[in-house]
Amino acid sequence: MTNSIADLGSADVLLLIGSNTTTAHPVIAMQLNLALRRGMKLIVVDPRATTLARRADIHLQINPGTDVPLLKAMMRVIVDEGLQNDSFIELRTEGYQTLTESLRELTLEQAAAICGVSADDIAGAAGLYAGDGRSSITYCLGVTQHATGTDNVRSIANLAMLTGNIGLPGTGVNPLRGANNVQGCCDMGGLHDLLPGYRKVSDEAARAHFSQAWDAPIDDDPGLSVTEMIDAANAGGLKAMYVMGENPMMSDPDVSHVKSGLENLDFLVVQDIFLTETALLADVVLPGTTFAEKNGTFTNTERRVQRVRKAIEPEGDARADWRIVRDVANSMGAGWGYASPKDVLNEARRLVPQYGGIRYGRLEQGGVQWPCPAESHPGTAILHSEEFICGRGKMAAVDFIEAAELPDEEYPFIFNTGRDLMHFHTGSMTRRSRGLDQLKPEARVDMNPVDAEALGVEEGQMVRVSSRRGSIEARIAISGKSAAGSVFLPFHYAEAAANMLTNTARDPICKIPELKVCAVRVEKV
Amino acid sequence: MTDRNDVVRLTIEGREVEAAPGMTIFEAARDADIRIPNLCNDGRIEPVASCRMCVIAIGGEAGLKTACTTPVADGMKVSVDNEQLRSVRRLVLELILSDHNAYCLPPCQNGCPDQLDIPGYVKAVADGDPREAVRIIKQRLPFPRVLGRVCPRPCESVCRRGENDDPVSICNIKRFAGDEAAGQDVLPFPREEASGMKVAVVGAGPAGLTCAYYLALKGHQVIIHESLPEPGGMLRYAIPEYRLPTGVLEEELEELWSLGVELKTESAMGRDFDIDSLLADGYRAVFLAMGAHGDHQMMIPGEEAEGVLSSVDFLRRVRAGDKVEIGRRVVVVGGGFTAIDAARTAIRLGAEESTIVYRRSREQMPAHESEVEEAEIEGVSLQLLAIPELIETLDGRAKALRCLQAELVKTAGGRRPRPMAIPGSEFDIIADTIIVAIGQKPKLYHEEDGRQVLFLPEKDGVKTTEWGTIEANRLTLQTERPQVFAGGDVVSGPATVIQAVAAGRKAAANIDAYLRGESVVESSRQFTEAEPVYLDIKQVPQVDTPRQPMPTLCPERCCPDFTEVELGFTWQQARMEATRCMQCVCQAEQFCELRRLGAEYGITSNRFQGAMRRVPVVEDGNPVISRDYEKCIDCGACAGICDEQMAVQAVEMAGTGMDTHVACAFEGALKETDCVFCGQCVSVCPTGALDNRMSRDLRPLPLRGKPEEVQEINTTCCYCGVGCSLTLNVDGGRIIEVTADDDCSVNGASLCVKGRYGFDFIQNPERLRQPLVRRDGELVPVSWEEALEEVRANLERIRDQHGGRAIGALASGRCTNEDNYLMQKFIRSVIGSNNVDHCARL
Repeated sequence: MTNSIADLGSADVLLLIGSNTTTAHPVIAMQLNLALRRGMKLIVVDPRATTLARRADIHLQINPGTDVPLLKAMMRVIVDEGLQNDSFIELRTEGYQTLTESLRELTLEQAAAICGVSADDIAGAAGLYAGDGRSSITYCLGVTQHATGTDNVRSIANLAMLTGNIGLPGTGVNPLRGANNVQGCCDMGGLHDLLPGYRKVSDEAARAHFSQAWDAPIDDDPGLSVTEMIDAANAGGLKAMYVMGENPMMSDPDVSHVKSGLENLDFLVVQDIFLTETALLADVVLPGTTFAEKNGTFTNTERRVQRVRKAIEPEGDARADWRIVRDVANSMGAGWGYASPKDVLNEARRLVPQYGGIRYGRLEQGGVQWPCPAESHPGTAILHSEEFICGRGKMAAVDFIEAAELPDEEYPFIFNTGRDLMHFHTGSMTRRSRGLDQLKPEARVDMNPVDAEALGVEEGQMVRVSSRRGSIEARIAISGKSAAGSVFLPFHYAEAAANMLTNTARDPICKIPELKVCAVRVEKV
Repeated sequence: MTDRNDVVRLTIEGREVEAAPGMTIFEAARDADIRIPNLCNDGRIEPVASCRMCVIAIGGEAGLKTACTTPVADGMKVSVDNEQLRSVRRLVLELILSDHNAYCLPPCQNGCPDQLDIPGYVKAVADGDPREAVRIIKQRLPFPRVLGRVCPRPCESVCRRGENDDPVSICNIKRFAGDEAAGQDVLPFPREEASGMKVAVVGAGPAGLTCAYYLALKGHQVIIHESLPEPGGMLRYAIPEYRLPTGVLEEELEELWSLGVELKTESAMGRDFDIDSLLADGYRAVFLAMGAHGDHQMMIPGEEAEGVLSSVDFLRRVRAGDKVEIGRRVVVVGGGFTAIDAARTAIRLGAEESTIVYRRSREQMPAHESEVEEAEIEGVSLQLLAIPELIETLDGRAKALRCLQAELVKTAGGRRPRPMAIPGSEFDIIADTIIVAIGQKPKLYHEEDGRQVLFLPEKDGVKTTEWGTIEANRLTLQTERPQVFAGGDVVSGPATVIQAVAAGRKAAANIDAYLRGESVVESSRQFTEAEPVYLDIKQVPQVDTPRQPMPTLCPERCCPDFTEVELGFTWQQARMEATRCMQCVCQAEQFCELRRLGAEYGITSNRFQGAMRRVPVVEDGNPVISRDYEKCIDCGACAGICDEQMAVQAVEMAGTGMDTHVACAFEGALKETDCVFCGQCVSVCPTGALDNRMSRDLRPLPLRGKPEEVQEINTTCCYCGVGCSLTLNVDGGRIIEVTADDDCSVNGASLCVKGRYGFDFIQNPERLRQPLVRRDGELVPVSWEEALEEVRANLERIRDQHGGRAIGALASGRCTNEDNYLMQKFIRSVIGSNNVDHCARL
C-alpha cells in the first residue's frame, strides 16, 4: 500500500477494485463501514455483487477480466472532461502523451459494451473519482490474479497519477495483501527474480552486494517462479523442491498438473504444521511451528513490521521454521551462526535499506512502517509524497487482452475463485479450527438465480463443476452475488478444490496465475 | 484570540482542561485522566448515554447531564463526583441490577477463604483430567491432598446444588484429583527466574508452607524455621493419622522441597534467632506464621491435676509416637474439630469410654456434622449442654469431671444462644483422663529454665494484641516493621487450615510486591474486592443425581486403628460427582464494569428485585458467541457496534418501554441473521451477557485480568494481510482466548471472526509433532537427526548431479520475515539458484 490502513477511511471517494473486503480483510471493511457512515463515497468494481458493492454509490459489475478497458474508459472521461490534475502530471510524471493517445483507441460506449456495464456508470465513477476531494484506490486479488495482472495494476497507477491522487492522506494505490506476511516474504527476497529489498537479480551490482555479504556466488539467472517450477518439475528439469509453509496442491492452478509435477520430483521436502495435501506427497516432512510458538516479525499490507511473539512451547518436537532452515543449511556446510530470529533480522536490515532502522527493541513500542532507513527515522506512513522512487511516475499505454480462457458451448460458465469469511487460504488452519469450520463446514458453488433456474437446480443441491483440467462436486448456493453466466467457488476446501479447475495461464511479467477466470460446465449430479 | 476556534477551555472537577471543539465532556475528561464512570460508552460507537452512569453537573445549569452526549463549551464548569451524583449513580446501578439476574463469583468460590476456582477444577475432573484439576487448585492452594482430607469445606454449605438436592462433594473431588495426580510435580504457573532475594518463614504450618511455596514460584529463596522436629505444624501434630496420614503430608511437602525451599527444624524464634538476627543474616523479609499452639484452660478447680491434658499436648504426643497413658475412661471437653479428634484418638488408644462434653447443643458444635457422626459410629458419646464446674481428684489425680446441666438462652443482637447453668443440676462423669479442647491461642514464648521467654521482645518492633496474637495490617498482613509480615493462626487466633493457607498465599503475594518495590496495598487489592450480593438467582434445572458417599474403611469399625478412615472416591464416583456441579460461573467476572462499579458504589443488596425479568439463556447453536440476556443491562452497545461498524444489524433493541431488550430479529438465532460472528458485540459488552463460547468450553472460569494465572502475549495475527495486533491469553500452556490489543494502531479494539475465534488449530491433535520420512512408500516418524540427514543427503546428491538450478524452494506468505530471509538465502547461497518463490503473489 502506498498509504496506511488508518488512512483509508479518510478518503472522500474510495474506488474499490477486485476486493471483497468484508470477506478477505474484515477489519478494514469495518473501518470502511464507519467511513461510509461519515459520508465517504464508494465505487466498487467487481464482477460479483459483494456486501460492499451493495452499499456502494456506484457498482460497476464488470465482466471478469475487463479491468483494463474499464479503467481506460474512466481515464478517457477524465481527460475528455478536463478533470486530470495538470500540475501533478507536469511536476511528477512522464508519458502523459503516450497514455492519452492510447485512450483514444476505445470509446466510452465500446468499453461499456466490453465490460458489460452502462456508459453512464463509467462516466459517473470517473467524475466521482476525479472530483475535488481526495480519492483512494484500494484493490486486491481480483485485479492481480489474471494473465493481465500487471496491465491491470499499471492501469490503476495511470488513473491515480492522472488525477494526482497519490502521496497525500486519503489517496494512493493500495493493494490489500492476501496473507499475513506476503509483504514481508517479498521484502525478504522470497521472489525468484528479486533479492531482498527488491534488488533485481539481473542487476550485477545487487548480486555483488549480496554475494559479498553471504560469501557465496549468486546465480545470474533469475530463476523460476512457482508456476514455472511446477512446469519444470513436470518436464523433468527440476529435480527437488523444499516447500516451507506453502500448499500448492490447494493454492495453485490446475491441481492435477501440480500433483504430477510434485510426484515427478526426485526429492520433495515439505515443512509445515499439518500433513497438508502437499505434505502427503513429500519424501521428508519437517514439523514447523505456528505463529504462536515462535518469535519473529510479520510485515502487513501497509508495510508495517510487527512483532510475532512466542506464547506457548511448540507442540511435540516441532521446531521454529527459521531454525529448521538454518540447520538444513548448516548440514550442507553453510556455517550459519544465527542464535535467534533477532540475529536474522539484524543481518537482513543491514542488507535491506528499507528495514535499516527496524530492530527488535524498537518494535516493542509497536510496529514500524518501512521505508525506515535509520533508527532515528519514524517510518513512512505514505509513500511517494515528495517523489516516486524512480523519480517521475511513468504513465504507460496499456492494451486490452482478453482472459486466456473464456466460455464456449462446451464450458459455458465463467469460473471465479476467492475466499469465504470463515476460512483462510488453503484451509489448513481454519478447517482445523472448530468454531470456524462449524460456521462454514463446506464449499458452496455460488450461482445466479437465473442460471440456477435454467439449469433446474435448487439451493443445496449437489452439482458437478468441470473444466478442461478437472472436475469437482459441491452444493449450490443460489444468490445474486454472481452475475448470470458466472459461478464462484472459494478455494479453501480440499474435498471440492477450486484449483482442480483453474487455468495455469499466467501473467508474462509477474508470473501470477489467472485464478479469477476460466471456463467451466455445471451439471446436476 | 486566534486559538479560540481550535481549543475549548473548561473546568472539570476544579481542573482546567483543554479540549477540541465538538468533543464530549466524557472525552475531554478521559483525555485529562479524570474518570467518569460509564457502562455503555465505547470509542467505536456513537454515545447514547443509555446507562446513565456518566451523569454530571454543569455549573449554572439546572438538572444533570450525561457526559458522553454533552459537548464541551468554553468556560464550562463540570462536576463529575459529588454526593448528589454518587447517589444518582447508586440508584441507577440498583435499577440496572434489579434485572441483572446473575452472580459474579460462584458462591462456592466466594465462600472459600482462599477463593479456590472450584468450578474450574471440578470441571477438569468431570473431563477426566485430574492433573489439570490439580494445576487449577494449586493456583490457590499448594496441598490438594491435605486440604482434600482436612478442609472444613465452607464451600459446600453454600453450594447451589444444595438447593436442588445435595451440595456437590467438592472436597472429596479435590482429594481425588490430588491423589490421582500425586507425584506428578504439577506447577500452577511457570516458576519465575531467581530473584536473588532471601525470605525467612517462621513456622512450618499451613500458612508458612503455603507462603514458602508461592514465594519460591516467584523466584525467591525461602528458608523455613520450625521449632518442632518435623514440618507441618498442626497438620502433623494435631490432626490424627487416621484423618491425614503422615505419608500423604510428606509426599505433598516433597514438592515444596523440590522447589528449593529449605527447612531448618528445631530452630526456634527467640531461642535460636530473632527478627534482627534474620535481617542481619541477609533475609530481605520475614513471614511470621507460628500458629496457635497454646491451649485455653477451663479455669476450674482441679485443672492442674494429673490426668488432665491439653488437647494440643495430647494429640502432639500421640502423633510423635509417645506412649500416652489414658486409662479406660476419657472425657474430652469442647465441641470443635480438636475435641472430636481427641475423642476418636482416645478410642484408638484403647479407651473403653470416650465422652465429649459440650456446653451447647449438637447443632451448635463447631465440628462438621459428618465428623460427629463418624465419632459416634466409633463409639464416642456426647454429653451435651454440660458446663464443667470442677475436676474431682484423688491423690492429685483426676477422677471425675463435675458438670452442671445447661439450657440455652437467647441473647440480644442475634448472637448464638448462650448456655446458662441450671442451679442444682450437678452431675459427675467418671474419668481417668480429661482432655481440654476448648480452643487454642498463639504461644508467643518458650520456656527456658522454668520461665517464659517472649519471642517478640519490644525491640523487634512487632506488636502483639491483648489476645496474644501478632498485630498485622488486616489488608496487607504487614506488621509495624515493614520487612515483617505475619499471618495464619498467630494473627487470627485459631482458625481453619484453609484460612491459614489463604493467609500464606496473600502474604506471599504481598511480600513479593514488597521485595520488588511495588505497593503492598495495591497487591492486596486482588484479595479484597467486594462482591455485590444478588438475592434472586436463576435456578438451573437439574435431574436429581444423589451425592456420592465417601467410601470408608469399614462402616462399623469396632476396633479402629490409625489407618486412614476415608478411602477416597473411585474414578467413576469422582466423575459422576463432578458432573453434578452446575458451573455457576461468569466468565466476565474479572473485567465486568458492572461488577466493578457495583463494588465501588457499595451495592450489596438487590433493593428492587420485584422488577426481575426472566429472559432465557439463548442457546442458538452457534459455536463462538454465547448470549445470556439474564445478565444484559440493555445498554445497547452491541446493537450500536453491529450497526455502525459492521453494518449488519444482527442484534437490535426490540420491544418498547420497560420491555425494551436486545434481541436478534424475531428473537431468533444469530445464525438466522447476517451475523458474521466477528465478536465486536462481545468486545463492547460491559457485563458477561455476551461471551466467547469457545473460551468457555476451553476453560470454564474467568479468563481475563488475572496476571498470575493467565499470561497475555501480544502478537500479530496469522491470517490476512491487515496484521491485526492480538493478545493470546495463555493458561497452563494452552491458548484459551484471543483478545484485541487495544493500543494497536492497525485494528484498535476490533478483530474479525478468524482472528478472534480461529486459534484452536494451534493445539489441534492433527498437528505435525515429529519429522516424517518416506520408507517403502509410507511416511514414518523419525528423529530430527535422521530427517535432517535425509534432507542433506538428497539435496547434496541432486545439486552435485544436476546443479543448483535443479532445486527449487517455496518461501511462504505465512512464515515470518526471518524464516523467509533464511529460506531464500539458503537457495541462493547454499543451493546456488534463484528458484525461490511463494504461492500468493499479492
